[in-house]
Amino acid sequence: MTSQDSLFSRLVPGLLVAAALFAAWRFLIRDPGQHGVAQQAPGVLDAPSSAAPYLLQSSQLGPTFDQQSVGTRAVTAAEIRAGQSAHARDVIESSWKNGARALWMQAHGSVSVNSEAELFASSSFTPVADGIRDRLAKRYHASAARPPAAIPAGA
Amino acid sequence: MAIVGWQHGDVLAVIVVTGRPADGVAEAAAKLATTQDGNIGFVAAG
Repeated sequence: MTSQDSLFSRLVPGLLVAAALFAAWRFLIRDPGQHGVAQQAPGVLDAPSSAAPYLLQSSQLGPTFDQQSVGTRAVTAAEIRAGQSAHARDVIESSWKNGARALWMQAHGSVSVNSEAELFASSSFTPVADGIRDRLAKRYHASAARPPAAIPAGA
Repeated sequence: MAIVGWQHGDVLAVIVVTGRPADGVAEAAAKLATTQDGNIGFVAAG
């Protein structure tokens, strides 16, 4: 019995030190991991594109706009080819390097801003620009028309 | 909704601004396009 008590009394300080070290690691040292900080979706901000410096920067829009990680990313090979003619796709194959886009939303307002830049190995990419213009024109005309505001009385 | 697209050397740039006309969408698009064009010129010059 005496030898067991002696063994126990020798182990207690070691156990207390181990418990203290575990508590320090648990609460002070350990990285909180993915549950500690909200993870941002992959995008230009996480994987910089060489086209990113050409885009608008957050400081240029001001504090009233919040940058959206969902709309801020590199342009994919499928996106740059979408809706393009066969000729334009040939130009993309031979000349397109990469692209990037960034999206901001006004925090307390209705305005959204989408900035996009596409880099080519030469300046002869008119067919691709025409395809993008046509796609944006369709998007423009697809947006709902707003009726004009009422004319103020006495105007 | 306002769309501005242009070519700057080997770069194709596009700005799309949406929102209520009363919030100055067209003016904002023109101003931001000028700003982005300045970025392209700055990077290209560097």
